[in-house]
Amino acid sequence: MIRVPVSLGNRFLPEPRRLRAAAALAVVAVLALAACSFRGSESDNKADKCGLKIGVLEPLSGAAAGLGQPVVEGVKLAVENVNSTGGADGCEVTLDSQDYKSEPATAVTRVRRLIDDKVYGIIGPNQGSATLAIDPIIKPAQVPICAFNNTISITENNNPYIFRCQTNDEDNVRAAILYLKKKFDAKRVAILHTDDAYGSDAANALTKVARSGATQIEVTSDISFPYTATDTTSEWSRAKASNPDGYILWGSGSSMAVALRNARQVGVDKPIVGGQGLASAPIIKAAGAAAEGVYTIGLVDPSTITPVQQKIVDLLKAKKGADYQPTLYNYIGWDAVQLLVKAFEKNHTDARKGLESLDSLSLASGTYSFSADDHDGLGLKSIWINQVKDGNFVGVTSGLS
Amino acid sequence: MDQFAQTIASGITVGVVFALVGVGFALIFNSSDVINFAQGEFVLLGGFGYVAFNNLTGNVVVALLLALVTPMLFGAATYLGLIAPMRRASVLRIVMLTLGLSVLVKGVALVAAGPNPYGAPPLSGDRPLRVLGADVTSQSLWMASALIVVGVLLWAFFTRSSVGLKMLACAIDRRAAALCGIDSKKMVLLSWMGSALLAALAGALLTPQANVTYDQGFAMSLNGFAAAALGGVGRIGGAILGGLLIGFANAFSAGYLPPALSAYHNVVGLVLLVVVLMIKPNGLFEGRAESRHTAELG
Repeated sequence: MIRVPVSLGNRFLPEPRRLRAAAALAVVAVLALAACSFRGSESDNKADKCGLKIGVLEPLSGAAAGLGQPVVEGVKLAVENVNSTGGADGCEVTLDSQDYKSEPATAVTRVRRLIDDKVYGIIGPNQGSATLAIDPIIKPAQVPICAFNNTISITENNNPYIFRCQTNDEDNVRAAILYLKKKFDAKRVAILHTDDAYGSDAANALTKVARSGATQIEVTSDISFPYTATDTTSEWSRAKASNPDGYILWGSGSSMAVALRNARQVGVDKPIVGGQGLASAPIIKAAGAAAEGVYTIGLVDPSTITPVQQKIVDLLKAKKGADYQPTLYNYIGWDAVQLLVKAFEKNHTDARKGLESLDSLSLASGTYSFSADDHDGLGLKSIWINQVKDGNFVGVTSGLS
Repeated sequence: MDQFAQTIASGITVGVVFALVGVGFALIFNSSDVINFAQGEFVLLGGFGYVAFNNLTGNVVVALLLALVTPMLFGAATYLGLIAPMRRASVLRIVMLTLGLSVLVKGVALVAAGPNPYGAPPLSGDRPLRVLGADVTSQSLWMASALIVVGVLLWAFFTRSSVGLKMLACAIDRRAAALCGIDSKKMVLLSWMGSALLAALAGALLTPQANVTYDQGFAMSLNGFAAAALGGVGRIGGAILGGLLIGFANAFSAGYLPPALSAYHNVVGLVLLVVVLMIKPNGLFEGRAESRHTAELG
């Protein structure tokens, strides 16, 4: 039997180690060539020369996911829209999105990642607690955030990099009082609120607004109840006994539906105005008939639609299907992108200065103005008073002053 | 007067839930020395079950009954699948396991149901009734009645029925009970099922009154445990009284504490617990200290 040699001898072939070295060299050479050609195309194309990288720090999971997800949908839609219409000052807009899981501690690690990625500005967070947690990090990094919080304290720390892309609760409470005065000639109000920062902040704001004397209103009782309350009848009967002309109800979560039911149970017959935390479809649904007639603070009139809002709705429905129900959070996400794009157009390198130069920018959720002294984007005039009718929110009035 | 009556009514409504959860703590503690911190999650399952079965069947009574069965099976599965295989583990490890289970149930509830509250119709009429100067819902009356019925049934069960007496025997001394031919593993299983049933009853009855949300369980566990500890851990009557006392403490502090202190009313029930335990370390009714039998669990 003839044996066919399968090897020509090892000494005529490169050793495996040499082979690997040669392959590595080849890869390096290819990469270097690719890099050169990439650099070449960059110099040929103006749009690639600049870019606007926007960071997004939103809760996409956890308790506040219901707020974060529609914001990010609005953000993505706005970025696609900006890029398809020529970009921001001719530059492509890109997103760097981070989920902080509704946890302030996670927000801290995720904001560091965004800072390392050298974003121009950050959209979010959605919770005041997360904003306060990242406050000391964004200041030295000099990266501004567009935070969607009503929590008054976020803009009280003299951090020039915190911009509020919402109304603050002092204005929200003032709007509630002004409405009660104007419509019901109220002189005495009682406030019931959850005992978390959101509710307590509003109660403090009410005391401050009442003490200022400008509104000539007396606070008859200030009563808190737990965020997890399962019965608030004792609180309501106490508030009722103080004989107010109207009630302000501030808080969020399940206890708001409990509070609305209990108010009806103990026969509260004076108007109730609730904060933005109450203006939530699931809470109104859970409260059922007890929510009828209640007034809420909002940024938009949900029963009518402006041309900008219509555009967002059309784009969202085209993307997500005709059944998709747009929310305010889609609008504020969209608006935040517009704000950062406009800021970028004013100042390519310093987002803070860019944002501070924006004045009377009319967008989907209101008219935004920032300045070096005022980082509250939306003021009293942007606030809508809505009312629950047949389970839906209907706009009543806006532009209170 | 109205406010006083309303405060009493509020205390009963809140206290009934704590009492039912507290009795669940007592049942499991009696049979196995374990403090089950997933007790509040059984409340959650009862609440979600009531909402889901009501949507499916459209009948509140059927929904209530079905809402009790599912958590009972879950209670049995928890014992057989998680606790029984750990029978040689220390009490602390089993308690940690129940805490882990509580986190797991909460996480699954969040993924499955989302963060929003869910409401459901009450067992009868939505219109508040005027009772002795207080405006109460018919659901509150159902809740109070349920607690009375549960109290009477448990009394009869532990004094008149053979299974109840066997459970009591196990609670007093597991080894002696086993020597008398009592299947202690079966008794522990029954206590887990009973405890889940009571918590689910609390959850199903509470949902029309206060909705159900994925994160409700921990507060229920905390207050239910406080109720059990206040009455004397292991004492069923003590847990009922403890639950009502904490409910009253919360309601009265909400209704009568000076405004500057009103933010503290949330903790008044727990302060009451600390004060009572400082004076009577074994609770108002002296918790069981006869026998500790973890090593022989199951």
